[in-house]
Amino acid sequence: MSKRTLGNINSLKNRMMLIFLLLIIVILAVTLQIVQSATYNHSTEQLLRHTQTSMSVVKDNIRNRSNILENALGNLVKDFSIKQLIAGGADDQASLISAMENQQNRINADIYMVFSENNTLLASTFIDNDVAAVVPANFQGTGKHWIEIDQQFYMVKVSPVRFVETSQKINGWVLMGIKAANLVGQELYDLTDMQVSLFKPSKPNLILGSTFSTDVLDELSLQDLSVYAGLHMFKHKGMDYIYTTDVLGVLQDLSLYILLAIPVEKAYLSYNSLLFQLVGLLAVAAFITLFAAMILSRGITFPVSQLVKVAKKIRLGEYVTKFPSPSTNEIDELSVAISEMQEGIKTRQEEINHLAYFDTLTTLPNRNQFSLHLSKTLAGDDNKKVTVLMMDIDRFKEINDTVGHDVGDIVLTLIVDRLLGYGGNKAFYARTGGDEFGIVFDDSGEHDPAELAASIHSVFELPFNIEGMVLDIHTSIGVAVYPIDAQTSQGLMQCADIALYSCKGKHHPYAVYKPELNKHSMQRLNLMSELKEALNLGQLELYYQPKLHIKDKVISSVECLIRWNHPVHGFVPPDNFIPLAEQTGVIRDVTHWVLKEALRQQQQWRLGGHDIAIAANISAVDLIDMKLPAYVAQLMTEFDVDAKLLTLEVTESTVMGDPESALKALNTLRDMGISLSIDDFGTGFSSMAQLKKMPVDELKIDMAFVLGLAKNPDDKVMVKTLISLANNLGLTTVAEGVEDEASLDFLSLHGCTKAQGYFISKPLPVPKFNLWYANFLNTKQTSI
Amino acid sequence: MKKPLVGAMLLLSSICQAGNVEVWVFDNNNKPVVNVAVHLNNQNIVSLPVVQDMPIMDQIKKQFSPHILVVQKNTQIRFPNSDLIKHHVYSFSPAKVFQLKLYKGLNADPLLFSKTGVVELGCNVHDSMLGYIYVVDTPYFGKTDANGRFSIEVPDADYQVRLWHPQIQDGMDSLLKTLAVNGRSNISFTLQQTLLPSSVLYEQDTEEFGDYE
Repeated sequence: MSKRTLGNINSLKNRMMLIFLLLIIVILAVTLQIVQSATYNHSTEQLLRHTQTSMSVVKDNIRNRSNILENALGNLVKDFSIKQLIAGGADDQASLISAMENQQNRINADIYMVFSENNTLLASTFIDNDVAAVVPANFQGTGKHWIEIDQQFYMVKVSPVRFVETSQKINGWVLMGIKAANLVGQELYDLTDMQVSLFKPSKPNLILGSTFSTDVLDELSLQDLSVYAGLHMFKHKGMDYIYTTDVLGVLQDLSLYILLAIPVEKAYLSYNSLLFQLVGLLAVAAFITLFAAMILSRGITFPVSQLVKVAKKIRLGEYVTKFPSPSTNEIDELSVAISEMQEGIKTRQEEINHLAYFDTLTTLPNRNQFSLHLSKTLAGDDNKKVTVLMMDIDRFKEINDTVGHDVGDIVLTLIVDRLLGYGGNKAFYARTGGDEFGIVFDDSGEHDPAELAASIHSVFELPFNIEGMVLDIHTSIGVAVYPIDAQTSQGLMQCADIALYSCKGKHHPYAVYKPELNKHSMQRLNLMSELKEALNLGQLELYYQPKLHIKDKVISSVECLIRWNHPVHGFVPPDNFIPLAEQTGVIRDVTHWVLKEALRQQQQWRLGGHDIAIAANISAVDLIDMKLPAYVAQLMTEFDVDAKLLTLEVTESTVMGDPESALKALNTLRDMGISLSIDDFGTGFSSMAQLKKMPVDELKIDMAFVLGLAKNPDDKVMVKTLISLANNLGLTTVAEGVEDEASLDFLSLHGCTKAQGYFISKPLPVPKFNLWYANFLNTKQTSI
Repeated sequence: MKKPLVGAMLLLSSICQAGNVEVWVFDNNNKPVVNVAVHLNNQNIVSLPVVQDMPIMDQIKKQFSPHILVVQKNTQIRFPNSDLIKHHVYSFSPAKVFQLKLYKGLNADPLLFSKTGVVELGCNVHDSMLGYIYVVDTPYFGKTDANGRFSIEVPDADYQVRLWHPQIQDGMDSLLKTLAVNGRSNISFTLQQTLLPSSVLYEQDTEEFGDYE
């Protein structure tokens, strides 16, 4: 699950984390950008100010040097001995020179010049006369003065010599200068923390002096240096320098500049360090925030996922008592809501349960629970004898219709009271249907099932008193026992039901299950599929029962009766499979087989010299099967059958299902010359009107009337009437189930056409029939 | 000659405005210029008497006194020191290069000034001290008074009248005028250029007795 939800954008936790992450990133980025930008600008401004300050310092420093020089010169020219030497300069140049050198050294100047009052050079550092053109008076004035001699630049100061100080008269000049390169040194670098250079912009730049090392100076002289205010940059061997320039002085219309430079890294050292700290700080802040976000989101999502687990448990039917520990209000509310929901579910579950497993009216367990209980009981101890009783109220529908449903309900509840009063804890009671109850004796021990049923039945012997009415209640009870009758709860219930139905039919108060009662067992269904096979495997055999023509005393026809020799079950009576075959439609194959086999046998007999008519039973299914007439025709052709010698027997109820189609089929068969007879006449449900429509030739009186014909006056009346009816309708009659001579005589007396029954012969297989027939013929011959 | 007599005569002549020649000096604003050295030169006068006694260039209150001293060539000038402090007087002027360490009580020998020209005096110890000795080649010299007037008794003749003052900026040629003295004569000079500012702290009188003015 976690694999699916990790990285899933719909996960709350991930979403929160993502949002927080995005927020943090945005905030950090913006903050970083703003701070960095501001700090950079600030640093740059600081740098600018620093360079400006440094520039001021350098200029001040140089100015000071100039002032010092001026002061020194001022003092120098007041010196008496100097005046003396200057006065005698023309004559004694050597003394002047030596004194001046001495003075120069004192002052830390690099050059000197001494002029007479008419600007004649008396002495100078320069031996060669390169300085011929210098006019000392030009260098007067405050401020810095510059002179270029021999491609060297000097900052110079000049002072007039007045032999008498307060005199107006100038008697000479002394000039002293400092080499430009000496103006710029380590001291300046220490003061400003920047590299100081003096230069004259040109191509290449003329560097007068610098604190830089020579390789940088080479680069510098080639650079196009900006002389505009502000910060600029030049590159040297991959290192960037930031520099600024300012005018130092003017020499011959060309400006001299100071250049201050600092490596970028050094310039922005504090900025870089600050930035680094800032990034570090922000990173830490980010981590802390993310961590907090994690905790926060977890604080929300964890209880939520806990509640999800709880909900899932509730779904599975587990009721949860332990809810996640309270966190936020909203989660608490949710938690409470789910808990209450759980309660609601529990309550409804119980209600549903109650509805599902209990009958609302009687509050007894219902059929579901009955079934479950039974299953549970069976699942328990195998050695127990479990008795299942199904009880229903006789003619309850009538009672309901008579007294009304409300009173009917009351009756039911009273019945339940009586039941419970009887059994109480000894048995499990349930209302399994409208007027049906199921009872389970979990451990019936030695109790006889019939006894149990009888005792329950006796509970209802006393009538009920309802709203002034006295009501008699009769119950029918079917009993089934485990493990004898069935091994499953369904099986037991079914068996009890079957037993119940059987007592309904027989009007017994109760009945215990017998396998014979079961017309609907699986065994029977299996039989059907086996039947089809049986056809192919030749397990079916036709038996023939002769019909005696009473008047003529001949066997005019035989009825074909199907017999099945099941390899496992042995002889299976037709009643056990024919009805079911009719229901499942297998009968069609059966009938086809019967017809074919019968006609074949008929051919055999004809070939043997005996014309025996065949009568075969067909069902409603066969009739409606439109293929039947064609099949019969085909068979007739195949076996060269005389239609007159074929009779098809149908029961009254055969026609009932689809009278139109049945009649149509019957007519078709009739038109083929085949005779039709109605089987089991008198026991079906047909109407006289229908009888009129049916193209039948013969009526078979059901054995129900014939079996006790000899003794039963009612039967006699019935049979007599039926024969009369048939005669009046122009139909021949066959009496089924003739068991004795008296019956036969009666039938003969009253004009019944044919007789069939055990008295004549039971159904026989072909060989036995042949024997019987031969014997019959012999007997007949001898009697004549 | 007797010093006092000559002094008296001079004094008289100056007070009484004696003398037959008057020289007036005015600046470019027609204001009288004081203390201008005036001298009349005549080549014909052969033996020029040395007029005065040994003149003095004193230092009083850290000032040269007089500020401007005019002497005839070959005059000896004495340098006393009326101040209690030491002075180291010197000059590098071509007319006389000398230096004298002058203390109270140390009497330096007088110096002979045998070249004409301006001798600019300074004190090595005191920068503010400035004085002039103007050596002329004629007995007929003097300085203008507060009114810018100088008068002198000279024999009638043709003379070259010259002026000199450290503050005068006019060229020397314009300060030379010829004058034919015949009895009472006068000549006036009007300067063209502005006088240089005075480097002396206060106006110097012509004489010590200037206080009486």
